[in-house]
Amino acid sequence: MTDGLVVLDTPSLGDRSYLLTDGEVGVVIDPQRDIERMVRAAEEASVRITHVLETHVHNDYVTGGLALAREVGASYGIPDGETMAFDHEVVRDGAALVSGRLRVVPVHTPGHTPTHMSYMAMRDDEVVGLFTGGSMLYAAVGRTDLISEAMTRTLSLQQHASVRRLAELADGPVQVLPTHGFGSHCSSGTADIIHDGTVADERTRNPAMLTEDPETFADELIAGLGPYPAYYARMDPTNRKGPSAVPAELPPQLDANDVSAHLDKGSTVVDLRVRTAYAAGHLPGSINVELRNDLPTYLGWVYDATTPLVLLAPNERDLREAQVLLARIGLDDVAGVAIGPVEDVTGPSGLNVTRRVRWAEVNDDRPDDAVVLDTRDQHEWDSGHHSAAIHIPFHDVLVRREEIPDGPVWVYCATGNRAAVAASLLARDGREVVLIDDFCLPGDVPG
Amino acid sequence: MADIAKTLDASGLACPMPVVKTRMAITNLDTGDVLEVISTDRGSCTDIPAWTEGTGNRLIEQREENGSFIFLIEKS
Repeated sequence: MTDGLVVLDTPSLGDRSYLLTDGEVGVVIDPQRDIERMVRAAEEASVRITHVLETHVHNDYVTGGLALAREVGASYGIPDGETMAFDHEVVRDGAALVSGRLRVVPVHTPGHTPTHMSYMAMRDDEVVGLFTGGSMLYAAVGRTDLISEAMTRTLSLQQHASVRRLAELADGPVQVLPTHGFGSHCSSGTADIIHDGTVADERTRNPAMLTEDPETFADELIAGLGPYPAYYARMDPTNRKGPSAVPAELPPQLDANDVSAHLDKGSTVVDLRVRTAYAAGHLPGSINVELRNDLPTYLGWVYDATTPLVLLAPNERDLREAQVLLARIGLDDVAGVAIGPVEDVTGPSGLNVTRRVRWAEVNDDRPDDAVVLDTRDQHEWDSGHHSAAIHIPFHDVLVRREEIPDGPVWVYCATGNRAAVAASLLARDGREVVLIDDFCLPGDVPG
Repeated sequence: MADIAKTLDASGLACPMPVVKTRMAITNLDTGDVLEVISTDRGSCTDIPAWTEGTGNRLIEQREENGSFIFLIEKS
């Protein structure tokens, strides 16, 4: 990796942020909302951050750009052509930004968004890296369908040209430093993750380089686009308003009466415990989304932010971790939390238990009227599934509830994780559910 | 400390990929060989022990190190 470059991974979203330094000053690209990580990285490198730059107005997370720039007294640059609710520097194609021995040249690379900017970074006139945001990714490109359906084809054609422009600009062993592509749904391919690469590597593996014809490239790109989380729609407006950093305080703490009142009025009460603990005893009406890297994606997919959000966690560390994960996607307006054993907030209706089973019980003991529900993605379903199953991805189980026949719903996914989310949503909706806490990995036919 | 026959770096991968990759990696090992799996998804702490138990492989060590989760699995 390039000298003087700090890479901050955010695996829960599949994104990267960067700090490029010359030993005295630093330039930040695409910072996340928990800005203290970046502040600490600059302190450790003993540099002063002078510029904070966005490659684009993000669709998969709430930016920390404005908050960081204000915190450290840096300028905040956003690509030309975007309307923001706050003062900022307008970054223009070719208009280099200079800081110490660093020189950053903006390169307009439309495709992921219309105004998307990549940055060619030089130190002492040597090209040290190409910050490619959501344009040229490792063996992939940023998806082109997040702005609108009507613009997807145009953006796909532009993405082809943009990736090629970048390859022309800095050929050979120059490091490619993308923001997306580490599991982010902003990438157009998410099955496997490549951790590094150069422009020369991309010449041999990037679909925009391998496919000569732009129309063919656009056809293939669009055909391969999978679903993306529902919360993406809320990120663009939030980012234009100028979001603050992650809240420093914990949300208000609730007692048993408060939690019962929230459940009664239809608040979304999320139990963050692992599914085994949730299944063993949980508040009726709560939903289960485990605190793990998927939390923001999964909760952001099934919760539309129109009802108050309440979080239940076994301890403060988990609660704080969840608060940061959720603030990164703008879910920081948490109405209240309860920390500690779930028994402490149990109301008059007591605790519910969800039955957990493995495949042997599904195949040998399930009642005749049981509905087996596969909640995985389309490509997982296509690779093999239980012979009795119907298929609805976990995030659509309520929207498509009419398609689920009467009878107890036996829910599975690849590992039990998404199934736990789906089962809890269906239980809250009044269905009798059984959690198939077992594996159905690609290619498996479990019965 | 067990001799590690193979290391799988599943850093950055989201559910279910760490388990999918673990299954692929272990098929090429011999009985008694130890596979080391490195994951950055704390969900692996639920999924990998459940997978080893369900498949009869043996989880001989599990630890957290610098924000990563490390598992040693002996193939049975």
